[in-house]
Amino acid sequence: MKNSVKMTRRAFTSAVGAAALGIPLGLTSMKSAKANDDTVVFAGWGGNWQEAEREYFFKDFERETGIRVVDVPDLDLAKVKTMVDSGNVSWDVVQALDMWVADKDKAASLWEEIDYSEIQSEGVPKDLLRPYGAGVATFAMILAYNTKAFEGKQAPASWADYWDFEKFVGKRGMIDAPRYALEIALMAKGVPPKDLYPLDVEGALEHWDKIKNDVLWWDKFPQSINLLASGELAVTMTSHGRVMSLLEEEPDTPIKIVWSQGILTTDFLSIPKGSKRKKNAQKLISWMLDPKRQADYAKATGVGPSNFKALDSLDDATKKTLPSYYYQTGQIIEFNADWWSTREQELVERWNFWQLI
Amino acid sequence: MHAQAENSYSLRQSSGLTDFLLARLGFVTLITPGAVFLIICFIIPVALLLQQSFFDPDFTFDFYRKAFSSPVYLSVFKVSFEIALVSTALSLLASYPLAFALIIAPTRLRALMLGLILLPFWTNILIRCYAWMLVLQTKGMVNSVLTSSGILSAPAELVFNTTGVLIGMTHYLIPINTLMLYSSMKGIDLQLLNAAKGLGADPLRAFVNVFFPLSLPALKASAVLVFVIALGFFVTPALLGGRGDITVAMLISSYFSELLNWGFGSALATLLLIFTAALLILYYSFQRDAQDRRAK
Repeated sequence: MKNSVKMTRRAFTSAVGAAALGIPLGLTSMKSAKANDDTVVFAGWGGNWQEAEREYFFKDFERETGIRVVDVPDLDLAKVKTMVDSGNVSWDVVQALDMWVADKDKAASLWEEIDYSEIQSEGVPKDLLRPYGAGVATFAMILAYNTKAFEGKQAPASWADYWDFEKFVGKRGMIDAPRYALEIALMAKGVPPKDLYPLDVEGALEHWDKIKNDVLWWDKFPQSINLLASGELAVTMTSHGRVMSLLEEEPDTPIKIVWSQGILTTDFLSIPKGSKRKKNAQKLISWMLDPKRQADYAKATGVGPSNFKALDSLDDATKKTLPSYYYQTGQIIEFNADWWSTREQELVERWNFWQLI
Repeated sequence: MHAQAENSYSLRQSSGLTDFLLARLGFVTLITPGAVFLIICFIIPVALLLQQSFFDPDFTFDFYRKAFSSPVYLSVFKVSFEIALVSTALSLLASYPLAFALIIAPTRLRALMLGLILLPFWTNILIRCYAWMLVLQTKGMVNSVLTSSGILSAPAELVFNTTGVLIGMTHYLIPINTLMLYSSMKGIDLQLLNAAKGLGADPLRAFVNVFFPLSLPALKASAVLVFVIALGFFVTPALLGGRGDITVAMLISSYFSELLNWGFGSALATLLLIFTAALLILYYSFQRDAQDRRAK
């Protein structure tokens, strides 16, 4: 879902660099990592967020424990499966999407069970401490709009407004996938958050039918943020994290987030089955759940903490850039990965069918 | 084809048993390194991967049944073949004159041209797609030139639809196509054009009656190769396409890396392989028929 390439000006160059260097670097570091036990290999999504992870988590971890963190970008679930199936596991900690760890049967074949007796997790909601992954970061799928498109006019404030083309003139963008798009249609129809799951799939698709042809269906998150910033789109769904990193690099970008009716998703830390450095992996996971470190990381990136205690040490202005805060105030709902994990394929197929025919 | 076979070294026509054996041994030696490499590094891994489409975990045809059970997959195949065909044709239209210009250009200009042709070839495909997005969107460069100059009254929809996919793919295929055409066109003796002119043909006639027929085998060969490459696109249609532009390669990639259903992903990959092979066999047999007719 998340693409490691963030298409801002700086990222254009770093993307070329990553494409050219990513694989060879990854390979050499894996080789050297295998040789000794005082390392741990972390696989993440690359880009600015992973740079910040090095800055706010890994540096001190290395100093404190003497365990070297080798971090590799371009995480991909298929790579995890290949490693686990072949028994040649070179990653120890993986920043997993919620659906990768939610379905117990599938998760059990990919990940080691986490031993929470060795992990400091105070402050992390029970929901986020799962057998095969510990929640580490939160994101919100939100409605965002280009302020220039609504200058001097009322701006959209809900998903119902997204459907109202007369009152809120301008091009719409949406992810071309059932995930989030179904939830959004139901919220627009007025389904209350507590009744959202199990999703009324056909009802959601019928609601999309009304505006299907007037929506620009994008595929990758960087697209949505690019098109919104350039004014090609007036309103789109996107990830709050994308907006935050763009605003950090170019603070004058005319983009605003509508937090209410956002969908909260979580990234988990998981250990691939057969990891040769499980002990170190557990230590790193424990380290990354710490509220103080998560607060620093959140402040720098806008990525929400999973440890809600982290919010205590942050000022109001920073809190209001974080999904965890709006989750506490009840403005955003939690993505139900459990419901999705067993149905994803069926829903993706239903979605493709709906888009094509 | 016939003329070539007669001129070239032919195993069947060598006389005597010793000659025959020597030729055979030489032949085997020649193909061994390549064959061994391909078998170990390509055929075995691909076979291992594709055999997954028959096991779940016991032997089954379920994955194939699924592929034919819903019209959605066949329609995805149709979309993929259409897009591949059109982008191949468009890139040939652009590459053929370009390759011809390359062979008649003076050396220095040619080096410059080759450099410029290769430049986009070295650029990451993701970055090319994002660049096309910026250029083609309704507020992009192309549309602002067209609307401000009065050629269009409203911006055209050039991207996030099939048009966008075709532009992106054709752009990707042109350097490949041009280089293939150029390397075979280089072998055509340009003196023949002068000879034709000497016999009274105007430049156009010389080109159409002499050069073009000589370049036809190269044209056909690169069309086939480029078409096969075009069938494998999944980044470009995902980023530049609209909601109907789903290719088989996109589906395969989603079943492999998002849904982790490698069995069905492999089944789709196998079907793509079979359909492509069938199409190529059809194409070549059609070619042979045409040649046979001409020979008679």
